[in-house]
Amino acid sequence: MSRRDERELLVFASALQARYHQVHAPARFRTQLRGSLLAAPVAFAVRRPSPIGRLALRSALAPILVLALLAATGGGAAAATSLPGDPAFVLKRGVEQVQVALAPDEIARLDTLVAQADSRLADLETLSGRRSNAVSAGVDEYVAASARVDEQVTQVSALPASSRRNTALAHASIASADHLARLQSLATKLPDAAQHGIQRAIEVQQTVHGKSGNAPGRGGSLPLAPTSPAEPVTTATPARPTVTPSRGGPPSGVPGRP
Amino acid sequence: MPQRATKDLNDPLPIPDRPVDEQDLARRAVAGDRRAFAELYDLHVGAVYRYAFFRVRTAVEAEDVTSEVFQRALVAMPRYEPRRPFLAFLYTIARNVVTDGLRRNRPQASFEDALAHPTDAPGPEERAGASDEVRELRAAIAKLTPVQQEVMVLMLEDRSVKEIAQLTGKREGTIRGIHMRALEALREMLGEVRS
Repeated sequence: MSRRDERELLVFASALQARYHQVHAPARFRTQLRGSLLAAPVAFAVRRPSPIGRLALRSALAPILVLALLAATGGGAAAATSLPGDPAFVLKRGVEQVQVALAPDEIARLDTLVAQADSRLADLETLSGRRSNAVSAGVDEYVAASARVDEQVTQVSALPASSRRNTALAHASIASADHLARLQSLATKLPDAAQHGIQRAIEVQQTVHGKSGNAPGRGGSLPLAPTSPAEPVTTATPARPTVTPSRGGPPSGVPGRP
Repeated sequence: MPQRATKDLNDPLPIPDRPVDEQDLARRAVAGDRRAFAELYDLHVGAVYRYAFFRVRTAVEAEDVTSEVFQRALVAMPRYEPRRPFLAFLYTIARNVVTDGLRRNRPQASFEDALAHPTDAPGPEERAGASDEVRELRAAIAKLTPVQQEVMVLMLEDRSVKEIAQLTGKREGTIRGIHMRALEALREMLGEVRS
């Protein structure tokens, strides 16, 4: 393409931009969504102080203590930044196992395992970006982490419905939807040798997503659903922003008109 | 007075005298400050809505996508890294929401059908917001490939090539190429456009 053509196209682009910026979110919608977000009970649940604060603190301190021990023996820093396939990765997994073992209950354990699966996916993305030979090890570690989440989702789903349990399952569901999208993107970049593993990972995540999204007691009353004490919800004409996203099978439910 | 407090929370905040420190807002939002999250919402809802509007078929779907994006962002706040631009975080979620939606809605009617037979009658604001020019642009963008749509919409939103490359995981040169091809295709469909 010549420079002149390119210039003309850029002039054309700026004309399109003027059209593009004519679009604005309707004021009614903005206000309703803002209100429902402010009233949503789910946000920041992870950071809220809870009656099990001391146990949670113990869970948080455990890996620090283990890392301190490792640092004393010279292996801490290497372990913390290690990736699957590195010799120090075994130590990192050790810290994670301690974290899981010290989780105060099944729900906290699920949160911990979801965070660890996140970390394994990030490791896998790093390995893939570096075109490392350890991609297969990364895939295996990720599949193992996802399988642990899968098992834990089963445990938590069997608990009586509560807002804490539902929030944890919602977190797991959202995380698995995010993982599915990232895995599908990764699948296009990975070598053929890793394709089988990545497909296995996608299958495990689909199972997690299905289970966490359809756990008994969660249907239609997810913690995402905002409840505004100031504005009673009218069942006859519910405002769209207050509608809870559907939780069907994988991939994650997306709002859309039936 | 509770009623007053509710009004304060729900009304968009006035434009501040000094530039908003987004990183500070993000830090407060991560710590659980709902007002900070609301300020971030005020700053970016327009961009997210426009992104959705040009990636889905109807204004109603755009509202649904926008709603889903902010709800997911709210849930994910404890894991958000405040040094990362908040809009990039929102775009990442929006991409996933739109991709999931496209996957689910693939067998449905074409974009042109949706324009010809809207399932939800537009309200006055939507009619005002979606002029013929806008509809024409949206219909043309819908005919691009999904990757071209994504790049085109983000370029129209004034995001830099570098940002788009980071968001999409593609090289900057690739983004420029996609942008140029998308522009050529749009020019073919729309002809010359008055600025």
